[in-house]
Amino acid sequence: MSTLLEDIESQINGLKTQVAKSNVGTVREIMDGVAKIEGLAGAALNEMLEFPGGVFGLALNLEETEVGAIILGNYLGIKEGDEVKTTGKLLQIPVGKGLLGRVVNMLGQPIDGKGPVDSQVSYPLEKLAPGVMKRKSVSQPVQTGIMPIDAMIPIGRGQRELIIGDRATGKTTIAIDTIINQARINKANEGKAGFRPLYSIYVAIGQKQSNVARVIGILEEAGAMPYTVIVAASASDSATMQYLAPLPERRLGSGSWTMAWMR
Amino acid sequence: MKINREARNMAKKLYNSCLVGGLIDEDRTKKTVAYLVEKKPRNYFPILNRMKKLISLKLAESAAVVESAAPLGAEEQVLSGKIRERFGSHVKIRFVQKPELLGGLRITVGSQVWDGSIRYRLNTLENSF
Repeated sequence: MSTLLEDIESQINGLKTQVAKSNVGTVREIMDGVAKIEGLAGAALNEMLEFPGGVFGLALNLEETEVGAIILGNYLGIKEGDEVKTTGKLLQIPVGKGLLGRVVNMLGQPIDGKGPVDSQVSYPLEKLAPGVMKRKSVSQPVQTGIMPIDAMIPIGRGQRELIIGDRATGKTTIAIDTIINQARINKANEGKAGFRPLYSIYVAIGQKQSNVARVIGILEEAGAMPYTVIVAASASDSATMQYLAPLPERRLGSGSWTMAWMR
Repeated sequence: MKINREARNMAKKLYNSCLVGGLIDEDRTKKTVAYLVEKKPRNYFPILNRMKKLISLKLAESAAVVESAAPLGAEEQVLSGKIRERFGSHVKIRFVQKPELLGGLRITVGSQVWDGSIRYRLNTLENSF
């Protein structure tokens, strides 16, 4: 018995406690969701920074003596002198098919109250898009479901198409009709060999939450939600969220974002 | 404080001239500051402020703070030796007692922190739930 105890004791003695090494700085000033941080000598551009209370920030401005960061989330709890840590991770979001049918914010966090997003893979938000040579040329049409548009304007998969017009002339309606039409086509062709479903990503920037909710309602009614991801940065969200919101839009055309969300 | 590019560049040049072998030379720094104060060249005030900032950051880089829950006693010498061995003999080490750490050590050198305190582990545990 004593040998057993000795054995256990020697095992315990052999255990080493982990010492966490981190790069820290202190908040020098914070206002309107922008923090200036002293220290943080090892911070990288676009790296996520951890503030007290589980709030994250994004290092955007690396200067000789300080780092400028924007806060993602609630910045009211952060004050001067608070400790900030680097995380060693670039700003990343969960990706994959688990996002389909969900409403998420710019960080990929669910805001529809349906529980956590089912995704194991994360992907950096800022990434170089695949070059022109790597991309397949546009070969497959996209049907909006609106006959005059389909008849007059050729739209292909992997192509950008801008919808411009005065306010209240139906720009959003065209987009939503297209999303619904794609869902209809996807449903009709489900399971057919060689068919690649077209998933839609609707990004709402600076809109009223009621408007976003209305769009979600229309898509749910039409049964298009299982093929759609909604990214919402509404008017009541912080300026940071709205600043980051155009990123998916810009990336969509280049393919990188589409892949990022759908990989 | 707002500073123009000319003053910032000048401050950087003067700061660089105060370094000997990558470390701040006290004598040179004092002479530079005295000269600036005496001659009062253009933008001398922002230059002095900027130099102060750069020097304070450089000094912070070579300052180590060892925080512990209880007095370390004779172990302070061993620890000082190990820190100096790793970061150079110029490092100034300060020992601070912080009962809220509960146990273990927290060593800060510049902006690097090695946290092996019980408080840190408890916080990590709390955040993991």
